[in-house]
Amino acid sequence: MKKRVIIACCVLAVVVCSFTIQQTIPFVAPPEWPKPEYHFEANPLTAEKIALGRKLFFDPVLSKDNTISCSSCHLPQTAFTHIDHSLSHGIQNRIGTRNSPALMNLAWSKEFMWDGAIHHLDVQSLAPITNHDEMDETMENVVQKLKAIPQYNTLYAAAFVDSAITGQHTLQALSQFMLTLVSKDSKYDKVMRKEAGASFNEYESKGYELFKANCASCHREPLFTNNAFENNGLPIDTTLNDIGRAKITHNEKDIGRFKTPTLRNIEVTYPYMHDGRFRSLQMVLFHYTEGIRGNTKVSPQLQKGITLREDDKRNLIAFLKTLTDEQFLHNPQNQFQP
Amino acid sequence: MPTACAQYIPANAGVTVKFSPRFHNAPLILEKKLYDGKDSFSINTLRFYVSGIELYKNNKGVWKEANSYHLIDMEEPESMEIFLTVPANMHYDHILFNLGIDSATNAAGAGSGDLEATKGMYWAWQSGYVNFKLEGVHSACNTRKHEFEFHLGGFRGSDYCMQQVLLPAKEAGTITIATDVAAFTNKIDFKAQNTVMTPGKEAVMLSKKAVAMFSTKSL
Repeated sequence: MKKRVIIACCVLAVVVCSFTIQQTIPFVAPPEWPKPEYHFEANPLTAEKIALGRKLFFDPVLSKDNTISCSSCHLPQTAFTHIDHSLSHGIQNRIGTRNSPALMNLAWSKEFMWDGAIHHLDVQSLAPITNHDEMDETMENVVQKLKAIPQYNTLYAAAFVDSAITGQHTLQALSQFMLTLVSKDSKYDKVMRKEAGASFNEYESKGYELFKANCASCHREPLFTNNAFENNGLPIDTTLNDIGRAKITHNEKDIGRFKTPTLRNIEVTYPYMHDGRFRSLQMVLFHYTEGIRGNTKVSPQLQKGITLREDDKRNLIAFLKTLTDEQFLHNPQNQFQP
Repeated sequence: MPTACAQYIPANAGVTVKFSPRFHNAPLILEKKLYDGKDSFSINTLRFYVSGIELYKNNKGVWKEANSYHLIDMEEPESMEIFLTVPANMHYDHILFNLGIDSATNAAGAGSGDLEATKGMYWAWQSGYVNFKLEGVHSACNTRKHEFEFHLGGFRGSDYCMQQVLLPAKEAGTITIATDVAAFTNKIDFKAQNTVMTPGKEAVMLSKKAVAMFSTKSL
């Protein structure tokens, strides 16, 4: 009998402990969302790895001349993008070829970058770290630099059983921090969850109906992306000649196709599109109503065109602003912590 | 009583696989001037992944190496020998290995050990392992400094260029696999083809040609 009591107490202790541990891991998968794509079992979240990843994310040591960090182009307060820049700039004022994507809800993506060049979050960081126009470093050199910094030795020892500072551990830690960037508490979310006091006003309601009718086929709820590569009829910029997805698949049909970005926090992530060509949402809507007319190469969802009156556009933009998640943008967990 | 879970390997067990880079019948020496007809050339880099090592007997697999991923690098002599913890009295007549990294391992993201991205055999801009790197200089190349670079990789769909290599193997303490680079370079017209650094048809075709390098016939 005594043994049973002891066992029961142990089980209870484990259950209580696991709940407590879960509280310290800032990742919540909303139950009504699709299942995440990321294989957590291969890189289970721990508070130490997340803390290490956060420190790395804000550290310019990842760049060749120690001036550019991930946060240089992915700033927390602007949904982890580089606002006001059509193309981002890396070290030594080098200008890149694409607009910085906003980082959020990455656990639900299978492919990364505007053309899906990266198939696993754990290897995504390699791209900006080694790109000549971004951080222009080698992973090998990053590891050497980190090994020489006592604080990192302490952090890696706390995070990894073998205490080793390796490329893999660095990438896994960065992934862990990035995975915690979940945006799910916008006004829209609160309305959908029927939280007390949360409701759309007249303009936002109308905008939501217009959204569902005209935009949701690609910008599918609740992630506001279908995670597919679509052609939205953007004329090619001949100063960049960016063919999009076709660069990866070598398939002609993929020329001009880019990954549908999320519309969450869209209010704060201007300018828009893979090359940042539209500075405002009004310009985006103008493109969708006028710019794609007669374009037969656009994705099927856009073939019949989009009609919006001026007040429709105002209502649609009012709705899009309900996707701004102030809690996410100002969460101290998402920011540099000394 | 040993406290660590060390593997006990009896004296007569275990097989060493030794990759022996050659150029025709002579050992390959990096940066040494070689001849391809009238053209002079040299090999400056030879690095490739070997994975999924297995032993076969009578067309049946009899032993598989666990966690089988090895980066063979001519500049690292130690990397060219792989010790397989084959039990004593294992009978085999063939050895099988992959030239490159399989699709599942590519899909799994950031690897460790020889699969580390720090080894310089991973494409950062379009994720995936580089299975095979051969670099050098050839007078027929119309490139900067007459350099040629073959970085063969790719794992999605028809870009998949990992190759399986099956070779006869006599039971012995060491299986020496001659890696005759000439058997590969002989098949290449360096004027026409000297820079392949992306996944695609060319990488697949060259990977198939690269298999010809490997042989276990006595040297």
